[in-house]
Amino acid sequence: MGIISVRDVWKIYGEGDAATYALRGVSLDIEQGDFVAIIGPSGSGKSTLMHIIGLLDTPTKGKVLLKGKDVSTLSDDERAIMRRKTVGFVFQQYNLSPSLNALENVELPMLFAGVPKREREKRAKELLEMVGLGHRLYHYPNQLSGGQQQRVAIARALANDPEIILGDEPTGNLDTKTGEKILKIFKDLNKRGKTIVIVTHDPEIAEEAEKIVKIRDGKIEGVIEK
Amino acid sequence: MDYGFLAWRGLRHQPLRSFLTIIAIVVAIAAIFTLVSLILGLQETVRGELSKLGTNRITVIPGTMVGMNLGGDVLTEEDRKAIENTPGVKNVLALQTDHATISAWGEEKGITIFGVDPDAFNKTFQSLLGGYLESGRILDRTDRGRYVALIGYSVAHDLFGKDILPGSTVYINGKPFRVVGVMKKTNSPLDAGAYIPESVFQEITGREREYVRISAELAEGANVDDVVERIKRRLKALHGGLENFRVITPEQAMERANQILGMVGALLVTIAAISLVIGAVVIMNTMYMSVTERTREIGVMKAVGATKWQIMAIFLVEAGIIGAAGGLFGEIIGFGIVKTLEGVIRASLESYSAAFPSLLVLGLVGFSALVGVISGILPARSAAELDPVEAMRQ
Repeated sequence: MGIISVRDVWKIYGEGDAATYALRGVSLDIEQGDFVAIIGPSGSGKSTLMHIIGLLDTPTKGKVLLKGKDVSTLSDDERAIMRRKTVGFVFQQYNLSPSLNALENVELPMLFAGVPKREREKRAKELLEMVGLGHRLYHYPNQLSGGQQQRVAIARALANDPEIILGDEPTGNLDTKTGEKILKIFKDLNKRGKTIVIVTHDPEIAEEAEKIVKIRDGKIEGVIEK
Repeated sequence: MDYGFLAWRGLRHQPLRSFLTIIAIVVAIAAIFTLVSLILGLQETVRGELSKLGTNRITVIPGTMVGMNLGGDVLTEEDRKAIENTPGVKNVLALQTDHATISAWGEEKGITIFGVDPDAFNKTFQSLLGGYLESGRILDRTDRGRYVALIGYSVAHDLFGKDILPGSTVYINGKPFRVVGVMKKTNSPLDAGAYIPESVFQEITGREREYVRISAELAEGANVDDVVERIKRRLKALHGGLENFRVITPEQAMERANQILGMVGALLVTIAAISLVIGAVVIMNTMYMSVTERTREIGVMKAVGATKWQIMAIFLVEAGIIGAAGGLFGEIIGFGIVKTLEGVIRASLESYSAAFPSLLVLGLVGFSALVGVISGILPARSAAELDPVEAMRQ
């Protein structure tokens, strides 16, 4: 059994005739240290699947096991606490807090995790230096380029040293060259043992992964392992 | 960085709106602070003024209610004697009063005249009347039957274009009176009155001898309550069993004055508190707007591991800061208003000073912060309950 195990997961919005099926019985296993790309057209259910894996959402039916623990029945707060320790998110829109500078944005997950101030600052600095932003610590998101913002977001995702990094179209808003750089960071993280799951509609990006999961209409069409 | 910092960043996000919200609280707290401070000061002053006159004294007035003598109840010479002879009573001053005209410097004005026994007046001037002599002398036993007057401060200094000095002659109800002395300002009706010997009072007013007030100075060590009981019993006997008079002790007078001030104060503060309710609604509105605008940010905070309570805490601290800041600035402005009004009040009440008890100063800031936090509860809850996936789609 992998670090992430999805067992016959359904996600249904609404009821009766108005019901929309985002996921229709998806099962998937992801091993520790995997680099997985979930690929599919928009509306295929790939984002929903990632939200469920990342404990942001709960399945209507089915089970999700994270490191062997059933997380599909946890309360909101229990999921929040598990999320902060286990999963780091990188979004297409970067989703940095506009009122916080780079350093503070990276500190945020550690603040919620109750890490002491001094340790938070030290680690946030290290992480920003690691993604090549050691000279932009006190810049606000609107003073940073898209690529730089995404690197801050990656540093933030790593703040509490989670085992799993989830990327939702992490290169979607970036030009090809910048996108490649971001992807390289993901690869480096994978080499250091992080489990990476990236959602994308871009086959070229998916090609970089070791394992490609194709999803369409809420169902897994196929899994390609390299 | 901590919750306070995040809340502060939230406030700085919309500085004008935060400022306007704080103003709503400032107005309310300034009003409450001003009223409470002024009224507490007034109560202190009343207490001070009354205690200056001593507590070993009682006053008997006709009628069953203070200031309401509709039934024609009176106190007579017999009553005066009965009080005088009551064990525990040292000196008695019985007061008659009437309106009269006074002429000086070619002008005629209206004043209040008080008829007293000059000897009793002399003995009780210090103990019962506070010894407010400015110049000249007070009445004494040699003045019995003589046309002499001890005049109040306003009569001497304000009533006419020129001052009236001891030794000069004034005409009261057309009769010449020699002014033997002038009293100090007392901030009471005495300032616009004149004391004259009681036999003369009867002559110029043509009135029966009826007292509006009989004050008694108690003997050393006399128990006030016991003396009050004795006087009541004696007077009731004289009045055919009716208690158509009141015996007032300084404590009662103080209590009553403070009661009235307290009631007036409570009413005014209640009205001021309504503005605080408005302030609370303004905070609530601001916080709802803040939550709506930052929906996406809240979603992200939840995505990176914030629990509901942690999200709530950020917004509650934010609302609390608005309340506390409003309270603080409200008090600063209130303090300015109080100091200004204090000067105005002192013009007519010299010993007045407003009160700034630390309970008021600290309590009101704390209360204001609490109002802020309470106003923030509903908006903060709506932020905490946001679904992170939905919120991040905003």
